Amino acid sequence: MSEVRGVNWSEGRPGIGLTPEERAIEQHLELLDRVIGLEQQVTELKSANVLGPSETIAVERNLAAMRSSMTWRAGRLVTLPIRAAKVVKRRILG
Amino acid sequence: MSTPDDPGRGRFEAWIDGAGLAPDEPRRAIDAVLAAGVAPSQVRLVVRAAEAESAEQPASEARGAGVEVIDADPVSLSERLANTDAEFIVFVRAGRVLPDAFAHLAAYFDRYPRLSAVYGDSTTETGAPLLRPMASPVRLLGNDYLGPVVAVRADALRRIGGFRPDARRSQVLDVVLRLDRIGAEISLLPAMLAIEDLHHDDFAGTSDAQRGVVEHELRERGIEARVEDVEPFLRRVRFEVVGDPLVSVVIPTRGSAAEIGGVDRVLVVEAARGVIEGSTYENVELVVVADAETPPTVIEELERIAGDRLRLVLWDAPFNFSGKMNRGAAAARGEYLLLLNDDVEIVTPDWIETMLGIAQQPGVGIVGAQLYFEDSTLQHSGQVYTGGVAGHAAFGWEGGRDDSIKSLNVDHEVSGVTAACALMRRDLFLEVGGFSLAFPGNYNDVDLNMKIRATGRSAVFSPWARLYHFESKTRDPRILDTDISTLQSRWARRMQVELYSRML
Repeated sequence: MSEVRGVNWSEGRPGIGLTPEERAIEQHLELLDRVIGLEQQVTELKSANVLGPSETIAVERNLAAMRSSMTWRAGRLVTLPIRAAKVVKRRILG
Repeated sequence: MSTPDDPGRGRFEAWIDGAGLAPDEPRRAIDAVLAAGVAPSQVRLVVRAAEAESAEQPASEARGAGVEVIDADPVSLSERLANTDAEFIVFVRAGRVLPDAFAHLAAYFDRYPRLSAVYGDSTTETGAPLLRPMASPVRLLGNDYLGPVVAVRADALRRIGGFRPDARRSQVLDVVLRLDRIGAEISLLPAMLAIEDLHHDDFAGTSDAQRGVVEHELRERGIEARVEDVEPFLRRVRFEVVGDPLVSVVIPTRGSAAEIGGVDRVLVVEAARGVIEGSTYENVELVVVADAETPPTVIEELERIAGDRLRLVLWDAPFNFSGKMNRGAAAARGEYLLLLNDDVEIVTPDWIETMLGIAQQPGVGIVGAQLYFEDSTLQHSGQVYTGGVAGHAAFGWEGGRDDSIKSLNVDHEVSGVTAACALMRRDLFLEVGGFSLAFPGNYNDVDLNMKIRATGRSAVFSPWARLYHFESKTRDPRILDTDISTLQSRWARRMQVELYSRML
């Protein structure tokens, strides 16, 4: 099949746009997604747990595994002076 | 709350299923339960009268260890249930519990008192993990994935009337299906609870019993379906399509051509031909959202193939996949939308019936298909979400490969499905705001799946609806920083751990 680029297939064709009702649906989708998106962003910022039982346990186990890893422990050791300095600074400067 | 040092003595009764076990296995299972801190008076070995001869030695050993032997007859089981003081019945099937299994179960039930039944992970004898999926009602019909340890609240068991006579040899699956039917919460405890004795052969006739239980459950739920054996312990449930709903196949395109298998072809034309001529489901309309620069010859070919079943919609704005799909959905008249990329080729002619039958089940939001690359390696078997980003399960696996819990041979719940081929109700699409324009090229389907799941509905993958997807032929795979940051601003905390496709 040969391609004829530069020619707009829609020219002169009726019914290839949305009807007013369909256009309203398209706009409704966009608006609704914005609202849902913002709601979900707020949910993400809340401190409440948004996970179910299985997911909560899995996340806690992942965290525990990470904190018991050599990498984590080495990192804590390396950053110890910095963390100690921060505590001292906070206590002195308030 | 119980701790690993306090396994909740007296709260559990362990019922060890002796069906199909080798002579030495019941004793090993009993010893493991006792070693986990359960008193002998709280342990039962369940044997069948028909197997009394072969069970004689294990039964004798059990009695010697102070363990009661009870008959697997449902009347006996229900009688035992009526008389127990235990809070939980823990069914042990073909495996040995680990020493801290009961402590983990007690802690989990205490933390989440609303749970009615809990199952967990296991390992093989050699230590290979058998990680089980999060509660998956559709999958449970096709595969009893619950593993060797299933703990059920005794009062929940009583609430559903105990054990059903017709469910011999498959009581646990039957109980969990019935609990699911009444809305009881069933939950995965993602922790190792047992070492599993893997039996690939069906010594005890369990597979037939499971099929019978599933067929009974489908009848009870009023679901028309046929249950077909795929292999022992694995079934395909063919859901009958209810009614003859119009399915709107929404395809975005710019009329590209590509070389596939050494042959030049116009992708959208072949996709349309597959939908109209290569599919057995007939009540479809084709909604093609075409860029202005789509060659007129392509449009003419689409009109020739689809005739009055074609609705053409112009897209004359900068590229935005989400916008194009939303426009198509707005123009669609069908009760269902089948979101489809233009670079696909249909393999299984009954793909629409397969996906539609699943989409009509209660609680199901969106259904995806198995997609192959041109070289027949797997492109899509469900999406996996972890660490706030998304990928594909079993990506690049060669055809025929599967995981140890047979995920690629059973319909099952997943974190999400690709919008390259996905079917859902149109009113649900409208309810969740369709695709987000904030994701013009990538992750729009991930966001859509998350919005659907946030309504409490599930995403289901079917390996029985198969298509080729020549993705690399047309897609710019670059992911923008804004794609990831926008996705994570909405869903990061809920995309941290993958608990559906854990073995893929």
